[in-house]
Amino acid sequence: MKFNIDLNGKEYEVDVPSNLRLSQLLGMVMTRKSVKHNCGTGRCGYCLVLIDNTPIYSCLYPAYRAQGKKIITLEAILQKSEYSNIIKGFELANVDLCPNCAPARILLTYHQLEKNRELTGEMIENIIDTITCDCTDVSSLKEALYLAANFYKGDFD
Amino acid sequence: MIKKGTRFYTPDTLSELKEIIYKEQEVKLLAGGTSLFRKINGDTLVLPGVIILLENIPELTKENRTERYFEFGSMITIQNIIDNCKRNFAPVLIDALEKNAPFPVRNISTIGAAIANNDIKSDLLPLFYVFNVKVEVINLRDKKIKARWESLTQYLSTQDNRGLHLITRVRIPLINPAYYQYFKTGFKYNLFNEISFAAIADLEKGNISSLSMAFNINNKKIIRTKDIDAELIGKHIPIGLKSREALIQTFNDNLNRIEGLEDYQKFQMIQIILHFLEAF
Repeated sequence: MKFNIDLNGKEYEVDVPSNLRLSQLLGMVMTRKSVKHNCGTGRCGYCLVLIDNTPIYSCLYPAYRAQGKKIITLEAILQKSEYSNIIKGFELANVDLCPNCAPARILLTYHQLEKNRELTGEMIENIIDTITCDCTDVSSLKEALYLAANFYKGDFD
Repeated sequence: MIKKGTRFYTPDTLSELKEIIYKEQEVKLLAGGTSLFRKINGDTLVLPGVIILLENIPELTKENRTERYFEFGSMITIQNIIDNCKRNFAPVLIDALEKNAPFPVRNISTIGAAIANNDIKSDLLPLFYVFNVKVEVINLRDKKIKARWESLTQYLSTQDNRGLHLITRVRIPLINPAYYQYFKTGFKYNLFNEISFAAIADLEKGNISSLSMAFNINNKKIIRTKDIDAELIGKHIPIGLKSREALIQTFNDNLNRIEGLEDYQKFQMIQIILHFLEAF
């Protein structure tokens, strides 16, 4: 079936089977490398995207439902200074995320910081719980997120 | 298998929805959409012939607050309820909603679908039971749109025989129980094959004056332990070690009367109730 989607500010017309998931559409058909179609059951979190500025697991979302909604993937923020600020925090904490979880974690951190400018303990727990990847220990991740939030606010240069 | 030509409809009003249902035979109403992913073939979704997306119907996204209860349109997401009602709801309710799923899932899963989904009973149902939640239901095959409020017990006991229907609103009473617990076995965001438990109680000088408990077994069966609730009225919380053995015997006798429960499930249920009574 044919429909239009708004991906990272650009409108695309796609022609795909009706039973395709959004993660498959973005990752496989539209080759956005930041969206990984992995578990397909909403457990791993690697396929996280923002739809109308709300984080969702795109593997739990039929592609057709995204019609008329604004989809944001990590590619949309790569050129922004906010992205480099978040990365600085991760680098300072010596956290090197694996390629599977990095896009989702960074996008989620960006989303939370855009919303609140400050990360509360609950939000940090949310970011950690949402993506189940064991590449980094929880305490290092917390430190990285805390530093990323400070860089984001401009507390550090 | 892939069914070619699955058609999607997005009606803007309830009457439009009824018109579509009048025309089509086999339809699936889609609220949040997370239930679709229970039926997959390999990595492919198994979709029915017609899917009706309910997100554009304004009646289903309304919210109404009174002093005694909150009413939510069935399309309001779990995360929305957490965000808007954190200050008003009992902590046990918020805790249960937060434990329901990670927040990207809570952003799409809706309260109506959590109740209406019959294939997999939601972890929230025991809590909704003990809170005496009510639902407004309309039968979509009827000619007129006639909404009816029902208690959750009434709704779930007749759910299999009522044909195509829609929950339009969910009413959650504003109760602040003195003593409560919500518990899920297994992983924090368990998906299935686990036990969830909810209990609320009022206490008078440490003794139980009213109690309501409910279990969800393997996301397939909701059990209300009314007989056990009645036996426990007047008991002191936390229970003493001496009364423990006698209580276990009573629980066993009561649970043995319920059909379809495995021995290990009964054991787990008894331990969960004791855990609650010992005020952990």
